[in-house]
Amino acid sequence: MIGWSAWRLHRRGLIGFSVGGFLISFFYGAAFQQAAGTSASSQAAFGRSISLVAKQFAFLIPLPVHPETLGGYEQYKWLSGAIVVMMLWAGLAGVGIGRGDEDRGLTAEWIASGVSRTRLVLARSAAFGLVLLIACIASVLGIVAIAPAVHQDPNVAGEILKALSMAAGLFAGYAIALLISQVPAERQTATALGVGALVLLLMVNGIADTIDSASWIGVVSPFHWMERTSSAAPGGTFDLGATVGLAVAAAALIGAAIPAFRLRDLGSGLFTWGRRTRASVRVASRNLMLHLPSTEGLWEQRVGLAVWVFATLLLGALMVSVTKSVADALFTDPALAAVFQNAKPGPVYASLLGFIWFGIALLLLAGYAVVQVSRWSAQDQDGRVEMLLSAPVSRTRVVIERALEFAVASLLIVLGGYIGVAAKLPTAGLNLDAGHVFTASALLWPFALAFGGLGVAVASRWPRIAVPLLAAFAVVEYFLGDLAPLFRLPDWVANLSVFHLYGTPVTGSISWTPALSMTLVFLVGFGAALVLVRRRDVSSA
Amino acid sequence: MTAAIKTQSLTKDYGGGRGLFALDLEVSEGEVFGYLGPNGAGKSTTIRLLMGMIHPSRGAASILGLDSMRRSVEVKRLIGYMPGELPQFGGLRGRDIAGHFGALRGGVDQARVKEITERLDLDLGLKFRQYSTGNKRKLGILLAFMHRPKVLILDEPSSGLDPLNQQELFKLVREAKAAGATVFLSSHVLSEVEHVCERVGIIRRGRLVRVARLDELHEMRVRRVEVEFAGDAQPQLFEGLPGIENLESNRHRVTFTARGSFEPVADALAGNHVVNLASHEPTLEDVFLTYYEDQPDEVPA
Repeated sequence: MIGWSAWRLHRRGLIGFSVGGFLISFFYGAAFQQAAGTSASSQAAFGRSISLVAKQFAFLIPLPVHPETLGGYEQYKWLSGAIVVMMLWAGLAGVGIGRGDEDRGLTAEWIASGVSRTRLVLARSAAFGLVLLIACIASVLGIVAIAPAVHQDPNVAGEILKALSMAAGLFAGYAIALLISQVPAERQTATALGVGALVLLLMVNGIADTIDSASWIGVVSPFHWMERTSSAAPGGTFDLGATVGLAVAAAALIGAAIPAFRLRDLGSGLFTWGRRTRASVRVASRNLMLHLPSTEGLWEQRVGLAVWVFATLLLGALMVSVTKSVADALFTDPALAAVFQNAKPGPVYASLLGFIWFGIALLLLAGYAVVQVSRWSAQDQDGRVEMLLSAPVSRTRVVIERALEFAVASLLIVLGGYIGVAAKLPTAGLNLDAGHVFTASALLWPFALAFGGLGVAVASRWPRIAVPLLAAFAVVEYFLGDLAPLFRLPDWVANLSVFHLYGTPVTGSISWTPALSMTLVFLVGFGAALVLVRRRDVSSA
Repeated sequence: MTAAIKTQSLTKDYGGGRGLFALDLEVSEGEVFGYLGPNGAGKSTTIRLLMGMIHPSRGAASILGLDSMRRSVEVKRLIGYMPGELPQFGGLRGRDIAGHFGALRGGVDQARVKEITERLDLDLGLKFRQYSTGNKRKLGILLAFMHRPKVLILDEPSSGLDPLNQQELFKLVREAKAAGATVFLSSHVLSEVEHVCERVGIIRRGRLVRVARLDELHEMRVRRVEVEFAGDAQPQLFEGLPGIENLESNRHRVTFTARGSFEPVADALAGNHVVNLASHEPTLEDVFLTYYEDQPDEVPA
């Protein structure tokens, strides 16, 4: 019974990631000949150029293996990104199983029905592990399916082994988040810590990949061990030891999460500090933050929001501080230096900073929008919105307050990132134009607002499916900007991607058109939300 | 007296026979009205329609003359609402929740909050997730009553409360009525509402099957009769008599239920050697349960 429930709870993620993964890998494959050409020589030249340019992105994406082949190209272009996105999913699932179920009352129900805590964690973990495996296999099957059409080797065994390695690494990421989520008392804090830890491990792997003296720290990151398998490319390697090691690590982490879960009370953290006896409180709070739904929302998520802001601040500062080292390390390669021989040091650093910081910041803000939508969706389903509407609060006001809450929270995160970057910039030796850095940072806000506007719209009308809908939208948006040029689609198609709209303001000329476009997306989403929320029934039943 | 709550052909059709159908109901100002029905009968759907949470398929509802849907915000200024189950407020403390909902209504009457929390022995210093089921219900009572609303809509308010706190809740309801408030109280257990309600409506399968004063329900007597004969039981004496149902016999004894007048039974027994005759008075609960059982929907309203 618990096994079936556990499986059912992941069905949306399973469908979304499996179908999405299959389609994206299929379309990337379909675009392979457009990008690489049809002759062996053009494909070899294409592979050489990819290998060369890829070195500047080695901080986040492992270097390609045989990118002149369909499997190698997809491994670099699609699977490397997919791993990051799916790791966020795995992290959220780990926290959701660790703490989210508890907040929704599911954990108490299961335990009350006679399911032991050990069995509960094992059943939920086994179900998610299976879901991950299916999603990973689906993500490589698109490559297998399209290969004959583009006259390439389907490399079935290699693709499946790559999927196995991905699933093992992602499962380890899930287990890390599951274990961490046992420690704090609040779900929001658990989310910030669990997902934050995975982002940190991604960064650690990036540093290990690009700075030789720091390569040893990569061993703690599941991304490092997943990178050791490159079998999606013909001639790539499958590291059996690394894959088994990841699976064993996942099992050990889940094994550690079980006693932690058994030791703590439901609704409490693992550690409780001395409870003081105190008189009963008989008065309502006079906290001014509680006077409006939007400020109440900010108050309620103050710890989680503080974690987001400080994590962004620290990450921004860290990225700025490593940019020069990463760039200088890259330019020791004469071939890569030749690519940039006409470029001045400033723009090169700016370009790299644009990739390793602003690129990450975009993903972080899109992730924050998904987390917020998940919160709104939960509030809708557990009756919180119904309770709010039982007070003299209109549906229109609920939407406006949500938009305001999101705008303020995302602005704080953007500010945190900017403060981190600006504080480190003078000593980082990058010689960047402060105005460009400020503009690039400022433009992150309308980018976040665009996602928030769409999030408010879907959460207002379809709260039950809002999270997978927005997450799927984020993935499609991300890859749209990538695929549109490959398929030689018109500019307006690429401009449908908010990521594409953001562009590269840290290196390019400053234009406020993207900001206006993204603000327009926000306003359209917000306007749609105002209309949609009036039409639907609000009910927790 | 004007209607505090009025519905006209109020319908919410979820399809497949589920929902609420053609509800015509009036609750007068200052009245305490019990809304009774088994689980899934449509009580919460009615309440959500009154609260403007869901859109009616047909018909309309109004509170103190204001349309529930179109003038939703004004309506809710007048209402105190207690849902069947409070939502998850997670890490917020009771005092934060009371402060938030008080602020949304224009301010908190701290003296009133203190009075109710003391009467219910509710500690507002705990986080919501630390509250027991009973304490969550108490918090729901506080949120509904703390602003002295003109209309109270309470969805199964006493479930989960211990007997002492149930009595305190009923006192609060009586006080609200004494202050002129109208109370609409849903329940699936009659004994919960018979302490405070003047009238009850009984809903079954989405249709209102009966609205009556409590004393009228008492008058709808269905007696359980046992007749013990000196010789063999003679059930044929009662077959076909008006109001006689559930006829059973066993050696010397005949049992049946008799609805309405007892005269035909007395006539049938005349001239027979009866050694014992017992007629059991039904409890109000028995009367109520007759409406829960499968009956044609055309029970007189």
